[in-house]
Amino acid sequence: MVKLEIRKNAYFDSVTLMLISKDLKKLDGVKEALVGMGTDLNVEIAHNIGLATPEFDANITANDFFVAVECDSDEVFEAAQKKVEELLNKKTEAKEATYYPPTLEGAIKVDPDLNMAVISVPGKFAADVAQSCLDHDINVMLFSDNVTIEEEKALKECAFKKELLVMGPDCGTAIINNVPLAFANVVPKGKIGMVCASGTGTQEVSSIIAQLGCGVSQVIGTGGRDLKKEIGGLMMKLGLDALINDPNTEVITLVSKPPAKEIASEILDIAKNAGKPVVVCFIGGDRTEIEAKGLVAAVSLEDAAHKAVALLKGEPVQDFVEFTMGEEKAEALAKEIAGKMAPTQKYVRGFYTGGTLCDEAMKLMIGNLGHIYSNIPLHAEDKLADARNGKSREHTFLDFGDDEFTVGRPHPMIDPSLRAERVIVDGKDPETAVIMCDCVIGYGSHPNPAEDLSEAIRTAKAEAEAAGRHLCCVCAVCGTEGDPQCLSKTQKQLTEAGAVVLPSNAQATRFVERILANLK
Amino acid sequence: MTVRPAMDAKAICTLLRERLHDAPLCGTVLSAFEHAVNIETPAGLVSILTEARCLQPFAVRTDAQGSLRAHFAPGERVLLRAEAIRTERTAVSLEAAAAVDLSVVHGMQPVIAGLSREHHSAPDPAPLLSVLASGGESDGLSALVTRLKSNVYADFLGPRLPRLFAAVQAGEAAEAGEAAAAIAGCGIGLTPSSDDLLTGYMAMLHAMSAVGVLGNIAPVAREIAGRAAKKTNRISGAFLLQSGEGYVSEDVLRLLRLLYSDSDAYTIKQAAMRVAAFGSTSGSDMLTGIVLAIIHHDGGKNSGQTGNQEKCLF
Repeated sequence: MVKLEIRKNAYFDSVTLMLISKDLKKLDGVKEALVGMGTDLNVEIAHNIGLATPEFDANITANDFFVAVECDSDEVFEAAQKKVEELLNKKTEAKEATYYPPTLEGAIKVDPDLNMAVISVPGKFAADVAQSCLDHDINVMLFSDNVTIEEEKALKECAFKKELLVMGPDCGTAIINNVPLAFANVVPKGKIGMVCASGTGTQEVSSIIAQLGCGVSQVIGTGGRDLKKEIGGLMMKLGLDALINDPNTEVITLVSKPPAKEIASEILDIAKNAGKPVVVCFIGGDRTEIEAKGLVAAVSLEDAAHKAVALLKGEPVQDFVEFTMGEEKAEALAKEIAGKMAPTQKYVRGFYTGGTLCDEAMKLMIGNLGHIYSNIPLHAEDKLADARNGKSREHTFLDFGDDEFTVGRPHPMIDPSLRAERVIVDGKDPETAVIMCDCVIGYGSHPNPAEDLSEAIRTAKAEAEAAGRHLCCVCAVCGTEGDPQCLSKTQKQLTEAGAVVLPSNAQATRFVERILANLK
Repeated sequence: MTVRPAMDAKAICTLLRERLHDAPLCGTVLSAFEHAVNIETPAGLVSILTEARCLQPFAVRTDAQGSLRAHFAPGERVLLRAEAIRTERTAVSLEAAAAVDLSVVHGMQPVIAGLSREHHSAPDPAPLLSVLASGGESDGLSALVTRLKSNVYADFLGPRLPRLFAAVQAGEAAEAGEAAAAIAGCGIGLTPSSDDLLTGYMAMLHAMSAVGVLGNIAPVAREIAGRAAKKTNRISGAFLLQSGEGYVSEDVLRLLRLLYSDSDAYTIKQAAMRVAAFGSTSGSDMLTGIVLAIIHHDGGKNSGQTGNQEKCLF
């Protein structure tokens, strides 16, 4: 049915109208929606796409605002009307409640001591905004992506000279003076300082530090390209220097993918002379050079957290490659699960919302699996074609936060529905033995990311069971008890859905390896 | 109406200043947004803007940093005089406002004096296209020139545009007006996307006319604006009429001047980015109109000149 709401002589700004249009289309039961002013041509378009009613032609003028919705029922239309009202009021309330300076200059007038700006504007404008901040001696967290490497280089060279931070571009996580910025977790204040070139990698390490009873002094992001040759690790060096000179930091942890060789060497040389213990986690990288410089190499993100805590507490430092549940129990459980599986079930499907967590899992498993097909493959020949709409192939890992999946939709940590759909799709595949997922909580993430995932796991497991197969779902939650979504509550939701929940991505990976090793 | 001014105007469009010096105006607040208040008056739409907005024709830019909704509400009566704009509960002092001429015609130099029209260097739309393309898929009309994924509005309007281009090139005002009427009022937004496109398109036509690429475009633009304004809402119609007379915002004006100067592509791109940043899709739709004018009337296939043919889409 097509339903129409007209507001006579009502004017709303374009941004609000655009938001309403987008949000209405997302409502369950809404097939199509058109929002705008009732001009002749908009009415004609409404006719063209089947969204016009007789009321349209009779009542509407160019000065009226209209919402036309094709929906399943009156209830759905009422929900749509409620949504429109909510969006219109929300904007008004939000703007009236708090003063938002519209310009940087305006913000500085309000608070001349501002020294940190979080920039989230379309990439094409981001470099200019960031440069303006630097010109005002303001540190920058650049959440925006699509900033060119040339722009990044220019910004960071300018910042480096002024000893200002440019965290980013595409930097999603930082904790500065105990204030989480963007996607970050509630981590106590402590004495471990971190400089990181990875978003969810940073969240995993800082969350596990919190779970182990410690806290962080500063968590400085650099953006994923900082350690490339073109940028030269400028922010990693500056961040490292800041932590070396920070009296509140006793142990330093560096996290990134393996850097360009010469950059790695320069960073490690600085770390070597830090005068404080430094844990280095170059995910999947070679530990030899790190240890040769007298630094502590981590074999996983979880291991980095364990080692930093051990160093802080003055305890022995050793690789953490165990299971919190105990080695024997893990082996027995893996064997039991594998024993229930059908002979066709051979492969693991890893569906991740966190890119670094996906990368880490693949790196930890690749030695045993040989090939892992992915949209972010470890080897070019393992690139999965059309990852979003195509089928998985043998062992497949997908990063749902990669560009291919985020065109026209929010990041999966905000809207994990696409991943949930894929869990159901791959659960039907008779060759799927294990589905492995992360669940990232904390500020910025979906208010309850386990909800969709739990439902998908229940459905996938039930459908597999009906087809005579036992599907195993293995999950790891990245977050802390203090997070708005709460670590234990999230873990409980997933466990109740039938997932095996491990305390870290690395343990989940090791557990899946055990299952695969026990398959007939 | 004797409240003390709650804000000072920093800049005022010369047109509005002259009009208020002639005689006071009475009006009614038509809409109040965070950054803009629109007042309907017998002389047309007058806008009050915060400091975050660039100056528009028939507008004042104030030092207000907070939302203007706190000061104005739709339906309130307004008295506009040369020294202040007042309602019963607030006032904007115009005493210290700098007058800014937003006429496209006044600011442009005939850069091709002495050259034949065929041999002048036509503006390169590439920096503008780059800005539009970097915005990705849009709910507006930029797909008409970027060839990125289209939408229902761009699909609808695409086939209607050639009639307008042909009429403008032939100098046929009535036909251009008919064509514009078949385009105006299409798209999401307070100012529907096609109105923004026409605004940019007419602004560029005025610039071309001012530098000598086109003949006197004023009658054609006036007809386009007049016919289009009748097909859309009052606010959008007012902006169309201003553009039809050759008056545009500061940001658009700056871009037009740069396009007909020796400025490098980077500078032009920066100016285009400022235009693109306006509203939700309004800025990019205006840029789309400017690009269409360039490729069709200055070096494009309809112009009989050389330079931009390969970029023509119609």
